[in-house]
Amino acid sequence: MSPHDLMLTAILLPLATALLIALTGRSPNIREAVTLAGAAGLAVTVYELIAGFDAATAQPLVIAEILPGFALMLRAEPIGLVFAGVAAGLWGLNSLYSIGYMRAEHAPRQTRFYACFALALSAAMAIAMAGTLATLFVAYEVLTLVTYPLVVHWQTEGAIAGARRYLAYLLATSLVPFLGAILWTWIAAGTLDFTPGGILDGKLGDGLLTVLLLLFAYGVGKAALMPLHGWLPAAMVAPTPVSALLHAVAVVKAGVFTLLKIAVYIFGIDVIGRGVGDVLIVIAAASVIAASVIAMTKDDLKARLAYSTVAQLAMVTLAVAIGSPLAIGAGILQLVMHAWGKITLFFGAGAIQIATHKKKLSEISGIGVKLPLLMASFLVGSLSVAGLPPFGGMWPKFLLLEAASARDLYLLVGCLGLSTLLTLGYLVPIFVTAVFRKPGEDDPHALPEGDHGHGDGPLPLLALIPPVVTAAGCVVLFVAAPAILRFVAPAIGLGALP
Amino acid sequence: MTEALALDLAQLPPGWPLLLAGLLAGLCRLPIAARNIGYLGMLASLWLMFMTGAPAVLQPLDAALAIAFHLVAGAGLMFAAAHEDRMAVAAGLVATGAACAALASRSLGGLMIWTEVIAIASALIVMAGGTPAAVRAGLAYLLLQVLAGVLLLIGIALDSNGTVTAGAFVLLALLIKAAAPPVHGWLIHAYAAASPTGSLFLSAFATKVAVIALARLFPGEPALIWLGLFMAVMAVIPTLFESDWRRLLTWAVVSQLGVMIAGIGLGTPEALDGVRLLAIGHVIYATLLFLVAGALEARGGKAPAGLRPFALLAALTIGLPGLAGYLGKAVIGEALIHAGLGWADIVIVIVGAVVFATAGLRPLIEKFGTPGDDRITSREGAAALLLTLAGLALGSFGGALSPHAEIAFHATPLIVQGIALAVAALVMLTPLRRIFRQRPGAFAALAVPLPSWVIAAVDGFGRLGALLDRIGETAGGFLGGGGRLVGQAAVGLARYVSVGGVGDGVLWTLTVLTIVLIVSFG
Repeated sequence: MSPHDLMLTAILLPLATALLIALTGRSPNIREAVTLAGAAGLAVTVYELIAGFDAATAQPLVIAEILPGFALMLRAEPIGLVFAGVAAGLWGLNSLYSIGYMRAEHAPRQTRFYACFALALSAAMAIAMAGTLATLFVAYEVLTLVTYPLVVHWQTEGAIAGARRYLAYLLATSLVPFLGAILWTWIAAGTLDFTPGGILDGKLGDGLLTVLLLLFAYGVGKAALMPLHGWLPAAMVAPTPVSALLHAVAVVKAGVFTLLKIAVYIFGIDVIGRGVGDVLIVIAAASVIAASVIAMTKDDLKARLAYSTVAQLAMVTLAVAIGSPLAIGAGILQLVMHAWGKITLFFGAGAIQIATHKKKLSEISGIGVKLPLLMASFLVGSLSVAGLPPFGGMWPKFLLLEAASARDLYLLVGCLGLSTLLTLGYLVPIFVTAVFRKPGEDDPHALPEGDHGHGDGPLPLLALIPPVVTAAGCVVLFVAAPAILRFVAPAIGLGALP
Repeated sequence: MTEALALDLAQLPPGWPLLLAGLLAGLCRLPIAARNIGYLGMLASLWLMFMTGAPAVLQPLDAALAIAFHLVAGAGLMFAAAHEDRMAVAAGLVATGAACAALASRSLGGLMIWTEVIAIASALIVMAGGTPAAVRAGLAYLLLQVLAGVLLLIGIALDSNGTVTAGAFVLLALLIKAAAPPVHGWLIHAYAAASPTGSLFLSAFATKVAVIALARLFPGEPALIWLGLFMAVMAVIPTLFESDWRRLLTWAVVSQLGVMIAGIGLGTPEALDGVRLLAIGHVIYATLLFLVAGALEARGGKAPAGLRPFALLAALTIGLPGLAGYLGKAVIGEALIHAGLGWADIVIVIVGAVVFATAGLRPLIEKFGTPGDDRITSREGAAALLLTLAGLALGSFGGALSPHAEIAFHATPLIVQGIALAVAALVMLTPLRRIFRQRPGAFAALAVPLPSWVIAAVDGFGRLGALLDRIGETAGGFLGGGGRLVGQAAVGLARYVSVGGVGDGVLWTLTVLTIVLIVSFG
């Protein structure tokens, strides 16, 4: 197939999967087989796209031009393909896990769940392949809307409130600052095409560009830059596979990916690097530290992980704000590494919940004895997210340090070092409590052994294999990171690797 | 860094069978299988490193250190078999493999990766101690070691931009990992909190790798002579008064690390070979001492039959010429004399003699008074014997490892060492030793309580987080309230407009206007 067909396939295949899921909803086994087949098909499609990518011959695919310079257009480019690769690669694993999780929890409305999941992937693919800001905006809104049924899945009072907050944050930010910034860009530059080197240089003064960048940074609410991060903890009411989708596969990743695209193809890396991004550097660095310290106070495992996401993805915003090829490279790697590390952690938190019906740090003392493999994966995920070698998470942290020191931002170097320690400070205690503490220690409310209201369910194999695979992926990515950097290097003007 | 790392990772690092065995042993529920996987990994690793006929990756002295690491792993496996300590064994195997890989790494990046792996594994070893104190000490250990790792990473990052501060960061990181004062507290607290098996593994790897890295990167840094001598003297004082044997040994470890750092500071080829010889010897005799102390502690302080000869051997290994501990110290001492620092030689000889007296002789005299009904197990005996033989081998044949080693057997150093050991023995064998009254936790203030500071810092950040969270909630509440007001106003306005009867008109006008605008613009 030609690259154009492949791009369309990548978007339409999940859509078709969603339709088939809706049709086969009566028989769960077929429905889930369809999901898995769709995921496998998408993975192959995206793999073909990446393997066959050639910057010299890549042509945009114009679907419709609504107004001059305001077109719906698809274009494959390296950063988008990396994002598409992450999302497509994790969909299958997440689906396997979903099957294990949703069946163990006897969840209702599973057809809607799998169908919306596939729709979300379709929207994510459209975001990844978007050739203009307008296209990206449409797909971005679609992603918000199709994930709403997923977030509200349990339809309890709390879930409805949380999901409403989710929708309000994302719609409000996208309709006011984001759309405003897009229109401003259109008026200023006369086009919205993603162009290498940017379209805004010389069109606006640096002061106005700073304002515009801030509008984008907060307009892309999915990037969860503080203080507009509230939707992310609120969305924790969703089932765990949905949290994994939000944090690792598609939604938050779509946010920071949008920022990366805007930095590289709308502003231009050099433009941001000459001082336009300085205000954003401060905000993002403060966001990293503040979210990390808040994460330390959370007793609920998923809330802890949510704040961890806010902190870790502020690092991508930080990379955008630093504005050098090295920093952008770090941002792209952070997108990949965080996805694999954080999905491991969410799989772990969900599996703990299935196996022991416990959700809080203070309740999980000693459960690690029963779940050694799971907790080992959890440890690997924690260390990768914190940025320790030999796990993938080390690379973005290292490249960010390099980029910061190249611009003589020594305070930022200190901040990044501190953030690694803080990350360990809030993630490792989960592992330590589960494995090394004895049940009842430090927990006055602990029930005596075997006195739970509901018996502890066994951990289904389908909920155990995905975290082990993603944890192994963190190690593989440590070795594979330079290859990813080399793939995106031409697009971001990165010369020799450090 | 990518290129250097690619070179380092192009082939499997030496010691990979140990890494694999550690991972498998950690996941294996059967203790006996875990143990045998460990033995297999150790033998496979030795075989692949030395027996395949491939060109040697390591210098002779580094290779000897790697063998010493393997022996520690072997002794640890045997010792643990008696006490069932799966997590410590698994993490210990990983640490052994990573330590071998660190010795073989040719770039700073590779070194950083493997020291981090050692740090993670060591933290798990400490936590496997199982008590709440051990868990806290392990967490603090991890955070401090990662701090050192971050400094190392910053050093590497700065280095590629060609600034001079890079070296300072790397030096600082390695000094933290080598337990130089004032950050030696982590070693004291963590080793004492670990289980007996755990401390066997801990004493060998992290600090030795840091010392070897210092010897490679910063030889001849004069400040290190002073730092090292201060460290040696400062840490030896508490050994005179500490009654808890394992805690006493941790102080002795810090003191001997000081001697090594002083040798690195001198930086002559002679001194550096001395440092490496001492590192090898120290790996062997410190592990032997921890093993004997652990066997005693595991029986509640009642000496089992058969342990006493090993305690005597362990004591002698610290300083007797012909056994592990003597060679390196003597070579460093001679190097100091050749550099015109004769007084420094006297200092390290005295420090060595004090360690011999306090870590070896005194416990032998005082702690073996109450014999228990127990015997040592054959595995404990085998582990101790293995290390004793290793010490003997190094003491007798270590001279072949380095051209500088033979000066240790000249008349002067032998006589000086003989006198020093005799005086030490004289003090310890007579009631004179009562001058130094022992109590548990003596001079605890000297072990800067970094772990508790680390924990306090973490708590402090937690409180800051709670505050931020509350501020955020309040602000969010205000925003939400504001949003609701605006919404209500909008709804009210709409209702007013429509109820007023003109609403439909306005709405239609707006719609038509929008369409006209779009069409005309398009």
